[in-house]
Amino acid sequence: MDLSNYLLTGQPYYHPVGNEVALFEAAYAARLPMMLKGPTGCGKTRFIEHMAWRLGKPLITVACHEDMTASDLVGRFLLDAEGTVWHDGPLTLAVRHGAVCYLDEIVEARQDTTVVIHPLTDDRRILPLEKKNELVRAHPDFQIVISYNPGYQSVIKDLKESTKQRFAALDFSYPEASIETEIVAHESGIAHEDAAVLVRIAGRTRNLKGHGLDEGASTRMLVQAGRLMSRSIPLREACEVAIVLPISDDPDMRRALTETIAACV
Amino acid sequence: MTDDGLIDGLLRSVRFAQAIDRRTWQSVREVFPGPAFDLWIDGFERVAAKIGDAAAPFAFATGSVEVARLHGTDLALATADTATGIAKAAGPEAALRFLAVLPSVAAVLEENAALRIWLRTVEEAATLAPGAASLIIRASGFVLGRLSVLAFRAWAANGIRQSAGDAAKAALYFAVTDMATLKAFERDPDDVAFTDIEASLRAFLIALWKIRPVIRAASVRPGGRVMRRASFDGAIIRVPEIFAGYRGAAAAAHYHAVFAHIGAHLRYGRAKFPVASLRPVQLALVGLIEDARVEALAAEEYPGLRRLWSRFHVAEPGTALTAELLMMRLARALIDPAYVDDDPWISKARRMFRDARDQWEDPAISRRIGGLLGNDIGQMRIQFNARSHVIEPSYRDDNTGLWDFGDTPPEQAETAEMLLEAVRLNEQETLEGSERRERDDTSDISANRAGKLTALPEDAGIPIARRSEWDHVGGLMRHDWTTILEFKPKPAAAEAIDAILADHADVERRIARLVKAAKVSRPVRMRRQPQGDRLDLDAAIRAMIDHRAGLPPDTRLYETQEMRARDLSVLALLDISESTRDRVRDTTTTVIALERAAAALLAQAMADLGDPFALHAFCSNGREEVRYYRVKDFAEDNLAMVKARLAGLRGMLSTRLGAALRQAGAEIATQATHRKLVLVITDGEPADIDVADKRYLVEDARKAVQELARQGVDVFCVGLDGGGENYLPRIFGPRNYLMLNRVEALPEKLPMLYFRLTI
Ligand SMILES: Nc1ncnc2c1ncn2[C@@H]1O[C@H](COP(=O)(O)OP(=O)(O)O)[C@@H](O)[C@H]1O
Ligand SMILES: [Mg+2]
Repeated sequence: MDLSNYLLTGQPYYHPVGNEVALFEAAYAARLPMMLKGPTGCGKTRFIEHMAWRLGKPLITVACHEDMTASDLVGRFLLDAEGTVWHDGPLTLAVRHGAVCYLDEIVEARQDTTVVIHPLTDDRRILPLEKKNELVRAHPDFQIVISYNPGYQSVIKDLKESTKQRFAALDFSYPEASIETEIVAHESGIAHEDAAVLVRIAGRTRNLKGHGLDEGASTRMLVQAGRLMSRSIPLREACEVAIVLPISDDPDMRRALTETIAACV
Repeated sequence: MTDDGLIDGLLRSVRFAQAIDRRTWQSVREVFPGPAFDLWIDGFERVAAKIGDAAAPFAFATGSVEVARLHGTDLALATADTATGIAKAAGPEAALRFLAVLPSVAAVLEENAALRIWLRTVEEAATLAPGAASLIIRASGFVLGRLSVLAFRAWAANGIRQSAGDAAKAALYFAVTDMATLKAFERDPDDVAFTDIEASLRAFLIALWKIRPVIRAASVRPGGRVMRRASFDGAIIRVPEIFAGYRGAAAAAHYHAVFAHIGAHLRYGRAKFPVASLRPVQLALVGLIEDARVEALAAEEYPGLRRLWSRFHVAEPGTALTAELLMMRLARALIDPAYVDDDPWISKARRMFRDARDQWEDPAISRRIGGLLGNDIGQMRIQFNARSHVIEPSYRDDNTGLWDFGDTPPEQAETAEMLLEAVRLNEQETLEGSERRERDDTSDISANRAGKLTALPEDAGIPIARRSEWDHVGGLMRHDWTTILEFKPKPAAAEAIDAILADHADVERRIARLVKAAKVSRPVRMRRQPQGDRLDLDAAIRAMIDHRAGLPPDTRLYETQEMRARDLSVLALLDISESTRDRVRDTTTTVIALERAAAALLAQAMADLGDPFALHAFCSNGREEVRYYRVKDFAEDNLAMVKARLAGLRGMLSTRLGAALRQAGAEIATQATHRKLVLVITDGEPADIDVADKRYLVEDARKAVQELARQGVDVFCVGLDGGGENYLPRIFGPRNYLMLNRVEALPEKLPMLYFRLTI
């Protein structure tokens, strides 16, 4: 099977924050299962796209959700005119033909679903397809990468210890101000100084993490505010729409954010 | 006529009908047409039966007719429920009085919504304070003639809280008919009080500078005079409850300006200036330059703040040369670059301030420039009256926090005022410390009562287990090192809890909604069912394959949706050590009172939700006496009893958290659920009398949390102590704790948090 559909065509823009690129290359060389840890919108997805492109490997991404079953990952039989055919799921596809498989927000999936990846994460590197009675040995190029947001406060939704321990991890956090400015300016096309103000605002909102906000404004939110600004929406309005309103439903918190933004410009 | 026939029939059939004359019956028939009449009869009979007084049927008939005429039949029918509710909670006398005032209250209140609020308020009052219900109902007509219904509600709630079951106090309070007292409860909808935007202001300071000060709102200063300006000293900020002259959005902006200004002081100020021999006018001017200095630095960091502050600077050049006016102009000149003022003294000040630009970081320039400007004023022979001086604009604080008065005797008459003020402030602080305990005992009635009862025959507690403890210095586990003693919680009257719960009535409703959602909205796909509303595609395909392969196919081909069973038990562990007796700032409530109310709310939610739930409490007195209280065990289901036991909990002794955690872990281990959660609520760092090393108990608690995690018990902590960041993440891990800045919010936050954790 040809996975060329899953090859990235152009270079995804990624601005390194530390030595994560080199670390990941080494991890890939050793085919270590990787976990990208960090709050939402801080560049994990962009990073894995960039790495897949660098490594010249196809990338298969699965956004995990509650109702996902093991079959959604592994595959299932379907009926066709002649009878039944097996249809590989995204994970099996990656395992068989050698792609990087990225399971985004893995905690969202139920724990009985996530255990199917266990045999892929140790030396065996195999994927048993019980229904089909087949044992798929991983292609040498195959690597599994998951993303995990440790800020998620729920005892119900957490990765099992036995799952966590199988992965090496890269810690992502919001980039330092100068780099984040660079990213926001690049991604949204606004002037550097405007991007710098957005990044300052983000820093203030991140002070409120744990004091009324679950998370501060993410890089993604800044990029979105920037995109509104590049369509000539004034900064304060853009922030209201892209940051204040989405980030909190609490009127007190919104007022504080609005005043904070006003103070920054 | 059929109507007449019906009425005659009713006159005969209804038991209490004799008490009612024919004319009243006719009005009833008139205003409650059709099916409403049946409902009315139903209400009528209930009222007559529950109140059991000969006068009740007639009073209800006339009252409900009057309400129906003015406010519609729905509300009129609702009065039956209110009347029976009051009778049940507070007795027939109060209910009768309610029926008696009904016509006049219905006439006074024009809006249906207002009447509805009144009905709710008196019924709640009857439940919360049975003794005072009659008084409140009797006063209703008078008070509602003068106040809005919301102010009435606030007035009643306040009275209930203040009298706390004391009949004499209640009689005094609810007899008050003095307008000034009543008016205090009336709020203009456009008024913005500090408490309205407190949460926003706190968040604002955290966002800008990560500052988390202690804030107290007050209307009078310690000396007894009206508080017109904010004030700070160290990290304690006092603000006026309300700033006269600002309303609506302007008032909100004004409060933000106040906090941004004090924030700038806290961020850019340094050590206090010694008063030494400065004259009053110099003190004022040094303060003014210091204000300008910290604002200038803050505005470099946050340009928008200059805009925020500038709008309150409205001084204009003029000919009147008083010190006050000059200072207002100077203040504006230093912050507003566009402001033009040719006064030579102001120009000179502006120049000096600008020339010092690269020394703005250094507070010494304030002292230098302010001192020089003060000399000039003296030479210009302009009078300055320190006594009447009030700092302008009003968003600026009174600057007492800038000065170190040392022990300079108040030689100069003018500074005496200021000094006195500062001394009073200090006195107030220490007074609060020493009196706190006593006041607690009066403000916290039920705890006090329980305390007195238990003080003498305090039983010793029954040893139920020995638990190990981790010695981080030696790196060894000390086995059986602590003794857990079980103490029986003493029940007490639950009024204090009910009063707090009444304040959070809306929270209760919100929780009820969450409970409902948690119970029903978690559908789960059940596959491979013998019957169901949809075909299970996977199963169908499998059956087809088996069929073709010649195997007998499985007939379980359907899928259904079912409610997900929650499989979780919870043990809430309350810290009731001595420190929980501290009062929550700005209130008469103690930390433990809030803990109790929060626990009561949580218990209520749990009872509705059906998650197995236990509520235990602990404190300690050395390693041989770790006291453990079972307020509610998993099996207990008498909520009233739980509340009574909660009410009896008293804050005392120390916090040996690790031992208590291990005990809680052992308790919850007996539960058969898949998930087990221990929810700790604590207000301070672990400590005990026999441990000097502060880290020891922190490390032990951390170890205990890890042990529980290994046994499959999750531990989460709600911290109520401002300094919690220093040790809570260490003990519980960075994700497994939550700091509550506003302890007052605990009753609301705790159940909410629970849902967040488990849904
Ligand atoms: N280091 C980075 N380099 C380039 N873009 C970034 C970087 N970090 C964040 N972004 C921007 O933020 C957006 C959100 O990042 P994403 O990778 O989707 O977040 P995550 O997967 O962590 O939730 C990206 O679309 C990109 O525009
Ligand atoms: Mg000041």
